[in-house]
Formats: sequence, C-alpha cells, structure tokens
Amino acid sequence: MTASHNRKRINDQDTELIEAINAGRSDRFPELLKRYEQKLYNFGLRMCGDVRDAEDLVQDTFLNVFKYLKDFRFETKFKNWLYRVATSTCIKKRRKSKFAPEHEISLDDYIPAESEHVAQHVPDWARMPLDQLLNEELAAQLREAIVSLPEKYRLVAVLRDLEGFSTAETAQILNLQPSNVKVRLHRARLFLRDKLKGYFES
Amino acid sequence: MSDQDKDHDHGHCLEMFKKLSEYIDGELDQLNCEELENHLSDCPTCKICMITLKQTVNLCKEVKDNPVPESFSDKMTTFVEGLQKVKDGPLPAKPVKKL
Repeated sequence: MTASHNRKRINDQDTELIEAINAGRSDRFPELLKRYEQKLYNFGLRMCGDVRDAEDLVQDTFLNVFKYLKDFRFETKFKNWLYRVATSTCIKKRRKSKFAPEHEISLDDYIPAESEHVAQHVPDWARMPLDQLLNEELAAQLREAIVSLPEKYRLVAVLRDLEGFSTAETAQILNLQPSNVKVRLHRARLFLRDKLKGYFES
Repeated sequence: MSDQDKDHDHGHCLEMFKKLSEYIDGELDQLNCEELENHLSDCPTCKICMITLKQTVNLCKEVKDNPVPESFSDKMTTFVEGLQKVKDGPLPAKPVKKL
C-alpha cells in the first residue's frame, strides 16, 4: 500500500460542495467564492496593502482553484488548501512586482541591551482592554506595520495571528517546518511590537 | 542601569527572550514554561517585553475584516460564472480579463 493510501481523509464543511463541483456541478462553484471571498480579499489586503492587488489576488486564486480543484484529495481542510493556493499565487505575483527586496529581521535588534535604560513599568497601552484601545487609527497603524514586514515574516504573521491558523497548519500551508514558523513568527511579532511602541510613544 | 539589572544574568535573559512567543501561544512544554515563569517573576525587563508582545498579538487577532466592495464582488461572481462556460475548453494560464 502506498503512503497516499494511508493518508486520512479529512471531511469538513466544504466537503459536500467540493464533491458536488468535482462530480460535474460546476454551477455551484460560485458558492465557494461566496464562502471565501471576504477571507481571501482581506488576506490579499494584508499581504499586498493595496486594494487593486488584493482584488487581483482573489481573482487569480479562484482561477487556480477552478483549475486544480479536481486534484484536491481531501488530505487537509479545504480552507488550508485554499490558502496554500492563495499564498503560492501571492508569492509568484510579488516576485514579478515592484516591491522592495526581502530583508531579514534580526533578533538582536529587539533584545533589550544590557546597558539600555529599560522602562520598569508596563506602558499604559499594554494594560488597556483591547476594546478601549483598538480604534480605527490604531487598526490602520497595525495594518501599515504588517504590510511593512518583509514578505516571509508577513506571511507567517498574517496566517498565524490574523487568519487564525495554528503553527502546524501554517507550516503545512507554507511548506515549512513548524520550528521555522515559530522563529519567523517571533521575529515578526517583535517587529510589530516595536512599531506599536513607536506609535504610542510618539 | 538599575541595581537589579547589574545583577541580572543577561545570558539567561536572551535564552528566555527567544521563547516568549511560544509561551504566549501556550506551546512551551511544562519544564520550559516553569523556567520562563520563574524568570519573568525575577526580571521586570523580560516581563514588560512579554506583556507588550502579548498585547501586540492580541491586537493583531482583534483586527476586523474589511467588507468586500460590492462592485468587486459582482465582478468576481461574473468572472467565476464565466469560468464555468469555458470549463470544457483549455483554461487560460492567466485570467482572461483583469477585473
């Protein structure tokens, strides 16, 4: 028996719809669009920071889903497969685009230096309830900070902390080891924390 | 530097610093978790770092989705309905028409 035969089939809320589409009911494909259009549009906005690029990402992703849905083997949740398609589409698009080259985020930049004067009190913003803190202006600052993350860190931060995927799911979507996901996520969070500190202290 | 900082084992601090996200996510094993919590109780610098990092994560999780513009949603519906019509023929490698 091959390894593929041993893989467990995963059924979720999309299974019936996908089986129907793959059995010839392509007229139901727009239902898939309606289920995931908003999630993918926001994923696109977070990854690209631009409405037009986000719209292109949604369109290209659904084109690829339409082309390759027949190859979906139910070995993962459909949503995870969809994000793998979207992520791959996003990376290909950005390689061809005008965006700045990648750079690494070094942990050393965020470790409090031994000689550094370090505040001994938790800042107010870190103690406030989220519903009092998160207004439109802060949400916009946060979105801007996320878009300014180098892509490989942004992908991990968006999938883990904004889209709500687990470490294992993010590793699967990005074809990374979970340990790499954790390293990138920690650096991305430190980067974002630094941006927020700058915002609140300015 | 405070007196507390002078006596501080910064090598240990750096080791703990690397584990803060795993701690926030509840992904540390019990041994590492206890070690980190002991460190946090002795080290205000790392504790403040953990609290601000946790708040950053919580804020990210609270960012709401934007609604899809109605005009784009309508165009996407038209786009995928158009895909069905060409399903028996060769699909283009790129979208036939950009929205």
